[in-house]
Amino acid sequence: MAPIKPIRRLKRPIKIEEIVAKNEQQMEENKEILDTSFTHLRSEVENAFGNSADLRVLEGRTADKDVLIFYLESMVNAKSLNETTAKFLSPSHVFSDNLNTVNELTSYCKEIFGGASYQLINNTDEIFSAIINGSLVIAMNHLDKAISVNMLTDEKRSVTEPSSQTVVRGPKDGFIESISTNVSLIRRRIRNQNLHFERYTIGEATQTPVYIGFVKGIANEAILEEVRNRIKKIKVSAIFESGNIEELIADKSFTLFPLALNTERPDTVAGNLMEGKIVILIDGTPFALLVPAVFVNFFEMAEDYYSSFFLGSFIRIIRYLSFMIALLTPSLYVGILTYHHELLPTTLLLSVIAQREGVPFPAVVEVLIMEITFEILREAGVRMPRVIGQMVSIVGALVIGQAAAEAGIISNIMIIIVSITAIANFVSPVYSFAAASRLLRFMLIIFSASLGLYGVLLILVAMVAHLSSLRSFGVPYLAPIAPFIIEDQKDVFVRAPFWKMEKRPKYLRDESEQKVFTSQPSPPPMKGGNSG
Amino acid sequence: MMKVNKENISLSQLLTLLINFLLGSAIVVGIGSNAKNDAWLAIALGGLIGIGIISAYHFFILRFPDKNIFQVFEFCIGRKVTIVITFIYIVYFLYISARVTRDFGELMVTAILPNTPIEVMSISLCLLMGYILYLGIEVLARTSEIFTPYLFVFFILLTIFLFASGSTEVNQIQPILGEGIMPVIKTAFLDLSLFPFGEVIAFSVIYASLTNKKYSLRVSIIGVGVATILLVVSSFLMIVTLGVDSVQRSNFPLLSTARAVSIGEFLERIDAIVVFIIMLGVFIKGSLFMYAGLKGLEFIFKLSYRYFALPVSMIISLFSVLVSVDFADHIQEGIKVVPYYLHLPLQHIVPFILFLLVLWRQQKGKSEN
Amino acid sequence: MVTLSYFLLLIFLSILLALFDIKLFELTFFEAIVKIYYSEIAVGRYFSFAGAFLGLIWSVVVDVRIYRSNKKDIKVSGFNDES
Repeated sequence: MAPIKPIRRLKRPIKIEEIVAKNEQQMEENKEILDTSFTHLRSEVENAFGNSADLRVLEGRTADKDVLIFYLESMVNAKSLNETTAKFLSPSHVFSDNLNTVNELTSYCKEIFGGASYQLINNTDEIFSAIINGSLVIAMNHLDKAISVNMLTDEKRSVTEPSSQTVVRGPKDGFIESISTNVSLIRRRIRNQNLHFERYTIGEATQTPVYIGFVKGIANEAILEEVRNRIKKIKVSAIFESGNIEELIADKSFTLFPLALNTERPDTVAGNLMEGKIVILIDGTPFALLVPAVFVNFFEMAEDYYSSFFLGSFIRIIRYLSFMIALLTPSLYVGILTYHHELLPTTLLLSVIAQREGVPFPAVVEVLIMEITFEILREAGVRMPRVIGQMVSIVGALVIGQAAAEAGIISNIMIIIVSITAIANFVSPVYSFAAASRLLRFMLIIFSASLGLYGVLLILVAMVAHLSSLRSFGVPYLAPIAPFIIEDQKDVFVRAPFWKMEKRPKYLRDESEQKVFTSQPSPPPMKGGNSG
Repeated sequence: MMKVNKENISLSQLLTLLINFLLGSAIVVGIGSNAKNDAWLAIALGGLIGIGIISAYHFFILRFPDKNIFQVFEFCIGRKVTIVITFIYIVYFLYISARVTRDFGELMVTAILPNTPIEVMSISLCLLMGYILYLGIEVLARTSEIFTPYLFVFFILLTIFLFASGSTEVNQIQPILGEGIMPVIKTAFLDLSLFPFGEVIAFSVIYASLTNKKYSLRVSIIGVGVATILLVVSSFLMIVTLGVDSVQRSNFPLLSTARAVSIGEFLERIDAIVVFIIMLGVFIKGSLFMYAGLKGLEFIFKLSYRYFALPVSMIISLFSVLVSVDFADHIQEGIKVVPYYLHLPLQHIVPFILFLLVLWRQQKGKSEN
Repeated sequence: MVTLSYFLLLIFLSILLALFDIKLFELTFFEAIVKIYYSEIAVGRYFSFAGAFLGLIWSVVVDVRIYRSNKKDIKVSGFNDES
């Protein structure tokens, strides 16, 4: 019963080279001196990158010294590259017998790279990582240090409206794949020096930059420390999306419900930061993670706070309602038709029975057929190219739906149920949360087919129990509801008017209800086993 | 050494647990029927006794704020004897849990799902109980906290529907105290003080994990009070809807009552609502007894109680079937044997002796100091 | 340990039920035990026996797991003592 340890290893085909590289690295560290004899260095870099097509090696000469320049063509900005090399190599800057010591080199660099960030490099490994991260590395024959100049190209799309969680009223900008842009989008909303970002690098192979952002003084220190710990503990070779991180830092991975809130909207992130949450930004994805996330957060939407509180509250209640509809309608249909006819009023029952007269299947088969058909249609609609995608939905909805009903394979009421379930499922603002009700639905259908409404109730109770056993970074997942916190009810089922929302949510800092971890190993060993 | 996470139960959770626990199987089979149409009076009186009982337990257990009843035993009479007594208590708690499950299973099989074998009912319910206790008592408490508001809503709805559909006849409550006050007192003291109010002994293992012990007595009393009010109301509803004779003859009076609801040919057969109320109560009552038993096992074997949750839940489901041949036998045992051979000694006599021992020990400890 | 408790509970609950049956129906102890476990050929009864068997398997599994984690613990602590 050991907790799951998510370690993915990079498959490396050749082990010997690895060992050799390690040895070399150790020797390098022992020497602490960079061997800059050109032939050696050049072959070393070229070997390390496997003569990669985008690796460029320039030779030059400045102040009567030989210079080697390495960079990855794909990673550096061509314009600043030209400027830098031109500056560095142009004789006009250099007095003839300069650049004999490291100190002279430093001052020379200060002079010419005034603004750009440059760094002195001590060993070959640093050279490699500098090249990978989009720097220009300049080595000189007679010096035991090299210089790296950062000129990472910012290939990125422009800031556009987010494709999920769109709003009618409210800011229309969304995160993009570049982490620096995302940070600036947040910072522009919270102009406060207490907004801190901490940088981590995750992924042994991919070296992906990850930022933890929080507002100092608002965010709960204990939770923050736990986030840091969990982020540091991640040992994987590759990270590409916030989903990867989400799975690796979740308190419990065997659950259908997301334990971190993902969003593309900078205003949502800013709002949550001010509530005391912590944001995790990952380079290369527009989705940011907000932790700790509790159940009710998945029913909140930025627009609730922009429109009037009557409308905001109403829409929020609609969201809870549609969550229940998406979860329960098909199973209630099956349960009532199979076991509890008497619950329906007579007239309704008659009409339902009349419609089902020609249908050859029992209710549960009918429901399963239609639900699975719908899931197929939906997946097809999402993955197809945009233009064809719409056609799929038309074909699916009209042709299959209507034709199946006319052919008498399924009843009309079934189509109504499937469509209302589907539409209700789309209401959920966070896609990963809607998945929970999508999957639980099938379990409910099966149980209601075997045990009737009692089975539905059974699964519902089990679901609530499961939900209340979850924790997101130590905060109980059902937090303001159970354990019940009366002060936080202003922002759960209704959105209270702004002048009522004086205090930040208490569930994020209520020490007594959180198991705040300090020494405990993160993802807590749920089953009492030892974390080996 | 691994730090054991202490489980916390808040006061509101204690409140909801108490209410559901007391409604539990009492609302399934109906109580106080010996007092005929004064049953509601008997229940009210029984509620007062119940408040007394829980105050006594509370007073006694909270002398040792972080100990459950088994640890208090250990304090008094040493570990070896305690293990024997604890085992007796475990068997008792699990037996009651099995009986509660059986009550519910019989209800479901007779009233809701006639074609399903009772064994399936009890296995599914026990699996749920086992799963929840495997997740921990906190989870049980939170689950009850979430569902209890619906319980109240449904209860109120049921009352409104009953009166709105005109199937009630308030005259049936008369004559009040027609046979004198003796039957009421007798029922309250002999029946109701044992079942359901005496059963709060299961809470003697809960108090140890309470966060706020300052107001726990108040909350306990409120809990018993609210549960009593609900029981009185339900008993009253049964009598005014069905009449005394039907209530006494009916196996599941509340369900029969709910079937009397009929509003404008639209709202009929709201059994589902009643089954929800009943299921919640039964499930929480069964789980709490099971938890008490599990805590005993934890005490004996010094292993986290979660390890025992699923095996024990399966034992409960097995014995809920084996416990009696049929429903008549089940009720017979419940009326004739269980109260006098199990409830009375284990709910009142043993704790009372224990209490005296505790006082004696503490006196001794003081004088020695 | 869990398995032990499982069997103990099984035995003692059976004895309790048997005692009640003795009290109510005036059977001998052996008759009472037979009466409790006697089952007609009914599908339902086998469900509950299967459930109980599941519980037994579960308890054995838990025991094995506890045993293993204990062994690991001892190893780890032994290592720590040496270092």
